[in-house]
Amino acid sequence: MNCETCHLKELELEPTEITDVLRCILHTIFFHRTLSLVRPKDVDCDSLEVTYVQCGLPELEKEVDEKIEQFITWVEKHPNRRSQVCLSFFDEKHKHPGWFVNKTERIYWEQWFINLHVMSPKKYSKSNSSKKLTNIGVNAETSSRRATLESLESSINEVLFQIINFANEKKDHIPSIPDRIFNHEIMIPSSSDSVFGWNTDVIRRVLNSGHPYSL
Amino acid sequence: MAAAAGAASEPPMVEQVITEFFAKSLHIILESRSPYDSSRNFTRPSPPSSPLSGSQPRDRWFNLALRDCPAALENFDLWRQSNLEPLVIDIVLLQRGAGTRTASAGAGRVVERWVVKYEAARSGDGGKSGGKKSRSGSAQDHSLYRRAYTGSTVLLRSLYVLVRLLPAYRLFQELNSSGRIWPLSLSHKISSFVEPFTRAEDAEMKHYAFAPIETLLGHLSLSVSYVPVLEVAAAPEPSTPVGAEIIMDYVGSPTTDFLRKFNSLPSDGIAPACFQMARRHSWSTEHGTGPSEPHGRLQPLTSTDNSLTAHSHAHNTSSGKKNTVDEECYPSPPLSPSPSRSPSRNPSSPYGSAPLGIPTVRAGGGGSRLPPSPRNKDKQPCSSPNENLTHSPIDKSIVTKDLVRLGEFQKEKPLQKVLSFGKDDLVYFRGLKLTRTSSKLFIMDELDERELVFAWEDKDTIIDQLNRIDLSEGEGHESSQEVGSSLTRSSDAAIGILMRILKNAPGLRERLLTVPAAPVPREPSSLQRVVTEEHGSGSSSSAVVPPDLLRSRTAADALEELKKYKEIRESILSRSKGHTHSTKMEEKPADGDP
Repeated sequence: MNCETCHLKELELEPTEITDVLRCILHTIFFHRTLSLVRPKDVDCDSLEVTYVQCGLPELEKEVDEKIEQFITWVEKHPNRRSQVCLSFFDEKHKHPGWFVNKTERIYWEQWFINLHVMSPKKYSKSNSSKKLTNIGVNAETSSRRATLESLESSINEVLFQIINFANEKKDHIPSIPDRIFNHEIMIPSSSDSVFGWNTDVIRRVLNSGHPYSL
Repeated sequence: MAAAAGAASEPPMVEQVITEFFAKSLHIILESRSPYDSSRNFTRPSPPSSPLSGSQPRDRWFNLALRDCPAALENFDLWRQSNLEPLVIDIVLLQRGAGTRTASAGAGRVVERWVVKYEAARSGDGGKSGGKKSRSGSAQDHSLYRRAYTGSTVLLRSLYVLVRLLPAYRLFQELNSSGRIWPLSLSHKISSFVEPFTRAEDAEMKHYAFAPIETLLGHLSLSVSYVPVLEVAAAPEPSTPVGAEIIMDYVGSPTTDFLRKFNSLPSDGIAPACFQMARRHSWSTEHGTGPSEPHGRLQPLTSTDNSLTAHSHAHNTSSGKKNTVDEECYPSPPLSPSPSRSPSRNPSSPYGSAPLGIPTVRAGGGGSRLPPSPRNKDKQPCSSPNENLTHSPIDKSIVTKDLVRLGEFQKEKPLQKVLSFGKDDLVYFRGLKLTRTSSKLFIMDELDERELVFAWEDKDTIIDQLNRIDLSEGEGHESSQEVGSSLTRSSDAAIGILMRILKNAPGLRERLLTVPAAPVPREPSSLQRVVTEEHGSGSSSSAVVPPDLLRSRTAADALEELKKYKEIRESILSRSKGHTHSTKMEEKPADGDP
């Protein structure tokens, strides 16, 4: 079974937008790859004019939110860095128990790489010698903020289209539809990781599962 | 299902998948474009943790449970008869109002066109020999079927996401959730053939096509053409005329800023000959056309519960005076309730309480009916809850509603704020204040409104009068002589004096409660004096206020109050086994009044 990978366009965002952006992208991917019965739920982003769809599975929502919180914690410790969040789908294959071998084997059949560049909020020069200048600065900040948000919304739309395209073009590798959501894993950078964040964890898991894909 | 000729060779199982794919696609699209069918309001009872519960058979198709969408079901029932013909769904943006429609589709603008198609494979590709039996094997067919079904499942999820990414969805949300009145609406048109766009429309649109889904003997495709930027979505503000009409008739919102209605009125120096003004003062049509009689009368408009409200209507018939357009444009003065009265008293009406100069000369009949109106946007027209003001045969209901609404506003408006205006406004406000204060004491319900018409011939005179009154306000009644001397300048100015005296007069109820016998006869005497002064000036040809009427009203009120007082007193005295002597004493003045 091939493992299809999709690298999504990198998004530049501020820390306050992480939750919205990751929820939107992760749930959209999950919605495309949860082929068991779902009741779609429309959700509007808090800070962005973007509507995404959830599967309507509370457990999944909780899991996503927990991972996002962990990612935010990591970002706080590693500001202004590019990072990746990886959503992987896999099958589990039971292996015969043996020495130094796990009982189950993970066979990854699809991976989505969400590329983020979390930047600190733009700070405007505080010439602040007069209120007038301050007001101008506030206005400039507001308009600039709005422009940044619109740019981010546009980028998210592109990413969502990318997901749609990939999900429909690459579907022959999808396993048989189960009665529940596919096995999946959300990997985020950990504090012990290198620049590439999640890579150490991925390498460890790849070694454990014996899956023959290269990084 | 009756399959089309091209799909005749598809196995029934695949045919059913194709049919359900069409149905589901239509459902998804219309659910997010047809009003009242948003999945946000998905209310089918089922625990969220178990998607399977409460699912209907059609939800099982492609494992996608959708909210009921009657429009989709109805349309698909029609399409089902069409033998797998293409399903073309046009999302049409309709704009109410002439001249706003585009040429496309005849009845609106097509902002999205979804095309769902099943295309059978070419004749040489196989399938002629009778279907799956002739193929390599059922296992392969089953694999193809599974792939087609999985692919359809994924595609329908993508469709579900895509319809929420396109601009029309944002517009759909706005139209559905804002609760406002929009001149726009979204509609849809189902057909089985593609009506070509014009070249310009086609150039404007973007196109997106999903990867086709291979079936055994053909493929399913779904594509959309959409307008990438909806200008109506960029500026979808409701048109002003629609909103304005509704607001004008709107009743019941005390928070509504009624001043907005006047914003469009002309400012200084512009003749306010507009419908609104004529309508607001339409009650004056009964009496405002007689230019030969300058007269000022106090007239009750109505009385609600115990608070008597009145309006005075300035009606200047003296030709050639300084009756300017400005005066017509002045706001109706807001009323200042007497400080001695309870705050629950209803404020007077702008229509009835404005002692304004409304010249009949300029208007030529129609103009005399023009109401006082705000001069500036920030001026506060006075208001009245008095619905009985609307005597006009013209648009009576509208006027009534406006009055009610204005009255509600006035209740919440702090008096100080109302009075904080420019000089000219203040003059009129004070004039109104006087009227209001006086009328609360003496106005009868039975009085004809015609008797309330004032004759204010000169604005400067009025201003002068009121300024004097204002200066002497704290001095009490002794200043009335000084003010009265100015009456020689204008007979109508006597009204100001009258108003002032009436204003300074203590409230009837208060006096009855404190000094039951004394004040009742005093009030008529004050009135009589003012009226006498006015007649003595010789410049007025009409009586300001019928003293008899006022007096009778005063006495009647006094009597009524006395009776109540008497009852209370008697009950108190009876408890203490007292005698009835005191109550008889108090009853005397009332008897003598009329």
